[in-house]
Amino acid sequence: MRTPNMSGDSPILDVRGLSIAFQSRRGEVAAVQDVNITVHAGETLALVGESGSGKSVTGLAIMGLIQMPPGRIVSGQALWTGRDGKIVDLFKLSAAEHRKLRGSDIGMIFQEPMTSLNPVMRIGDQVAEAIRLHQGKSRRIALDDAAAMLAMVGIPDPARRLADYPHQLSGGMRQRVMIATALSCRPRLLIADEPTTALDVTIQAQILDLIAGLQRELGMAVLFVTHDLGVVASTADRVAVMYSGKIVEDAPAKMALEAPTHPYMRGLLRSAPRLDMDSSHTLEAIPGNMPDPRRPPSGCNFHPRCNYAKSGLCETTDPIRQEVAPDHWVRCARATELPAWTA
Amino acid sequence: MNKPDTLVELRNLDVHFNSSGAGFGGKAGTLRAVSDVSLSIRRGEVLGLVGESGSGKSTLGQAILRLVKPTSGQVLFDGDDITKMSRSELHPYRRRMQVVFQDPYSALDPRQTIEDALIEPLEIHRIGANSAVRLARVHDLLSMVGLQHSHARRYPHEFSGGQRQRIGIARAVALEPEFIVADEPVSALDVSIQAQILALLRDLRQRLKLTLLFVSHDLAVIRYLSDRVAVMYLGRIVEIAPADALYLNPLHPYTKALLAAVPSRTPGAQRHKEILLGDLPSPHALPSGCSFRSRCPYAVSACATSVPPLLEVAPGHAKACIRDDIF
Repeated sequence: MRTPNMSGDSPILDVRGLSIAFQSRRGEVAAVQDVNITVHAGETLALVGESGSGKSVTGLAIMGLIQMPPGRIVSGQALWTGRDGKIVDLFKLSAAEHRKLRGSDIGMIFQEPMTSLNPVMRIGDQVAEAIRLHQGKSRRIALDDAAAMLAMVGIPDPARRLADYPHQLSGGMRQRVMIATALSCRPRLLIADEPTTALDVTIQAQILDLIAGLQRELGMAVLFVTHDLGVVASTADRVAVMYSGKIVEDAPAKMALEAPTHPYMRGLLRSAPRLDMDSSHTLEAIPGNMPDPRRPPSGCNFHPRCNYAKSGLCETTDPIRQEVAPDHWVRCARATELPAWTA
Repeated sequence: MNKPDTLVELRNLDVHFNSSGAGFGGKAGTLRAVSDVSLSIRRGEVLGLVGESGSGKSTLGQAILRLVKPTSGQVLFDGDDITKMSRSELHPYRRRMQVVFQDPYSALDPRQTIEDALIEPLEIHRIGANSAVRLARVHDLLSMVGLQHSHARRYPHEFSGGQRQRIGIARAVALEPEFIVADEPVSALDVSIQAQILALLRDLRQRLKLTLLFVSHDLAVIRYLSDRVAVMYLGRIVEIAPADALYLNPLHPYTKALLAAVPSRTPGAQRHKEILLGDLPSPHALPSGCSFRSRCPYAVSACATSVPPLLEVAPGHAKACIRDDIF
């Protein structure tokens, strides 16, 4: 069982043993396997991984946005503690119940705001729609609320922007509108899937600051799905690293970044250039490619790319999750025999 | 004028696009993508060109290659003015300058095998006496970029993103160019694959003695690969310096803000609170004078009167900012 976090309170979201598969022409493909994550009120969990790691699918499953079929929740629970203290399994909700939760208790933002904004609907009506739908307010009051939300996310002259269409706004402003929509009902959990990846770095800094500020103000939890280790370091309380459908390491952010243990997490940190690395530095690339999910490697998924793979062990045994330090979990058969990390 | 070690020289280059205003929500007017850019790229160096979207960095790269037409100013390649050359006049230069794009998939014909994609430029430029020689060259190229000979008969969709970028690079070096514009070549790749491609670019640069214009929005990637770095904002170079000088001692307020905005990898590290406010102004309606002044915390009234010239303030280190008293 998972150790409680420092404050000792129970999580608002507790995902246990989640496995997701997708039907393909050549049979069922595992996208997510045995994922365990917990998110506490006010906390930011960064779900880190590269494309195909299963990080986005995990977020979509929690939101009830996986199309089934071809998708299928093979096993697992997502225990959600409601405002009334009642615990429900999100995977057992009907589509209508899930929809009710989205936009009220759980907000979400994506990388590309244009995919979640309606191009032919005025900004004000889009933000107000969520408020009318979930709080049953009149259009007029909802529009006032919408203007207040736009102001809160730093959109200048919000009352006039209400009449704008999405294409009239810049990328950073659209992202703010999407955040305003997601936050309009004061969700207790925000699922943010690469919300700053398509933005310029100066705009990214504004958006990250905005999310952190709103998080403090509203006390909401954030599940931050990202591949960017800089974003992780500046936002996360806790980090879960996914590779090829499995969480390979999870720990408090400081531990995951300063004492990374899983060879994949170490490889990620060593292969991403930092601002203080000039042309005399040499990055250590992780050799090879992400495995084909239709033909996953035997044993540990990472062993074909791993510098520490031990023959007779790693290609035969799928490692179990073990605690290498208090609250620091690693899925590697050699976790305790690896050399100490040096940055 | 042209120093012998200069391979590419730009003199007061402008690239403007006229929009008719007929498009969806479009405004009529002139978009100044590149304004009055003068710089030189030395033989064998990697010049990093960094900027945010809309800065004009990609357009500048394309203008050097004559993939877009400069409005005014000059592009000199190895001392020859190629700005107004006709297609046929330009042909011999095409072989000497190549491009690597962000998304090699869109640059490859999905119905063409990798072998055919690599042989095509060799045929166009009549390299190799016969098809056997060309095929041998294709195999050399594949090994050079870390692919196998068996890959030659496959189609683009059979490759991963990293492998496709290797193919894109193979195609760019096929004609043994002296100069390559690499436009965001690793931006679409996962971190673990990005490092492989950066290593390949470094390796080829050494082996083939390439001169590179490396265009990217990623400041860490730019520093890792570049000898010198130029920072663009709204079509103009605002600062240019040797890489270390630019990163350790940025002199333009925009460069400083850009560097401060990159999230640190140290957990809990407080960002320098120099978050830039606002968005890029519309390139159709630039502010008068310095175009950064609308977002600059150090702007004074004099910034509105004229465009600040790019002036050298230390050896090889130039900035376009009239405030000398701030950093």
